[in-house]
Amino acid sequence: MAGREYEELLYERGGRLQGLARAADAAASAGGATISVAVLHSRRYPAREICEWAPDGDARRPGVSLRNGRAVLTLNGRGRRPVRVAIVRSRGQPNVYYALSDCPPADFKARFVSLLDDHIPTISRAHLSNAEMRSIVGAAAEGRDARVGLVSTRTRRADPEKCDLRTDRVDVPAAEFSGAGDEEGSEITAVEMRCGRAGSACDAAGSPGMLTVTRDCRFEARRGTGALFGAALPRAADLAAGRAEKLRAISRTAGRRTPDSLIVRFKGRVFADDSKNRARVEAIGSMPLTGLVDWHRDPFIHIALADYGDCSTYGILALASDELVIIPRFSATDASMSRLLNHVMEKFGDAAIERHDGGS
Amino acid sequence: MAGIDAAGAEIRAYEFTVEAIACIERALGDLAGAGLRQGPRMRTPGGAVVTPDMTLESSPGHGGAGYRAVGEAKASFPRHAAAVDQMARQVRRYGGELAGWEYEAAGGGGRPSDHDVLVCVRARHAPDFAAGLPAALGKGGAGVESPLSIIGIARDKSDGGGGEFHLKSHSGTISHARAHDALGRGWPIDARSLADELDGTKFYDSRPPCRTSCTCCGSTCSPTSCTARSSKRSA
Repeated sequence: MAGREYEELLYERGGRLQGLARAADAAASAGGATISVAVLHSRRYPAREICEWAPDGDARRPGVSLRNGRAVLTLNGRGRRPVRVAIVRSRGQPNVYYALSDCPPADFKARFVSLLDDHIPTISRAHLSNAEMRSIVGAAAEGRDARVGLVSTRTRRADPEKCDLRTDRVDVPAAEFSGAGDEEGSEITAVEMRCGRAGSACDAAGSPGMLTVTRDCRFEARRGTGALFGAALPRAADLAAGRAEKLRAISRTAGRRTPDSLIVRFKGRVFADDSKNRARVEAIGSMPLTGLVDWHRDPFIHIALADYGDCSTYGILALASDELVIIPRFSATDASMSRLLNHVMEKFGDAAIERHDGGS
Repeated sequence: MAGIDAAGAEIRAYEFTVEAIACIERALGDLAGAGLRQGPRMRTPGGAVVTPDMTLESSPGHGGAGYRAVGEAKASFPRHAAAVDQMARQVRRYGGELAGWEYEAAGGGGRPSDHDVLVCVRARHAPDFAAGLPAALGKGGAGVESPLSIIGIARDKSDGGGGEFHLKSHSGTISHARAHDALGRGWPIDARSLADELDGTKFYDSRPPCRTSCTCCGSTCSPTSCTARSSKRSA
């Protein structure tokens, strides 16, 4: 069954390989190119949203062509190789899409993913918590001879703008992978694993496929994409859909007098030292396309944040040393909440999300 | 800079009153079962109408006589003598006979001894009030007839690092025994239980400084209606 999702993605009903994905896979199998995939959540078809929202007159404005019924976006940069991205709907989750490209991973991140993050407010990308990354690595390893090779970690300092990056070479079976130690303030940012060809017919013959999972929910696969399409992406789609559903339930209550609030519980005591509160407020305010009111930050932070991307407004309070309370005010969309969560987790570290019932 | 400081002080004074009302409502609701009214119109025997920041009342049905109090929030102790006198006159009025209570008192009417006057101040100014207010009240005559208490309110952090509000009465008596003991010792309120109220309530029954209203509009109300792309919202 492992290859089902992959085939669903790449084959038309007649069984022919289609479009960009075919070219990408062929390139990957030959050992040349890397396939990059981002997992998107959108209620409307993403290619349409991207065309509607992308800035006018920007060199990054994408062109769209249809290939066998699938949209392929072409992003032209001045004097740079065009980036082509195919967008396909996931099989299990109706609002989750995969964006695939065979361009260099750095280009994919800098040109396509940043276009989404900066300009397309209706498309959200769920960043992964460490537990979610482990679950994806575990899913990718299932039924395969998979070993984790490289683990990148980030260790936070008290200042939210500063952290130490580190990449460790390890060699552990993926099934036993548990992360880079649970020392306070340390979190996994990327995991690279080798996946043997057991199980899936889609793996390239011979050399094992390489699969990288990053914290911002991007995947990079080289030499064989079976583990990626067969297991990692479906799991990521489920996680993205689960999070979007949770946020949507909260966003629906935003118009109430006492809306449900979102509690972001961090792993470390990130709000412990009051003297850093100013830097923390600035870190939250550095989210693109937002405006911030600093009601007070002494001794605990209370701010209001407006997301001008899609007119969502929040009250944000840090009421415990490891916890941020986000209260949607008047209106907030799940995509905007997702962006806000990605931002605070980027700035303050790994966290778990809970919903707090506002009553009535 | 002076202008910015003054604007900031004005906003913070207004904000403090909103906070104080929420805290007092929670504290005396928990301690004395009292409900709070904001800006009620009370009549003095002379027929004049006064509107204190809040009144607190519990119904007399529960446990004998109900608890009554008039609450006034003061962000800081006035600097000028004239302003101090004005504040003393205001507190003396609240400490006199008042009509317009929600529940009938045991003996009927609104005798001064039947209600407390609670002056809610920022904790760091509480010593100023504890020293200055009784002196100012005594200067013009017989002081205030009702029991007077000065309650300091501070934003604080608990030992565990959680946000809380700390209420402590600095002088005088509160005629509700349990509230008197608890506030005398210091009564913490977990900020989490007030979070929604604090974030959702920015105004009380008095005209806000222009900058407060502008800030609230700019941060909360107008982004939801004024952004050109609002028609493209995904929800």
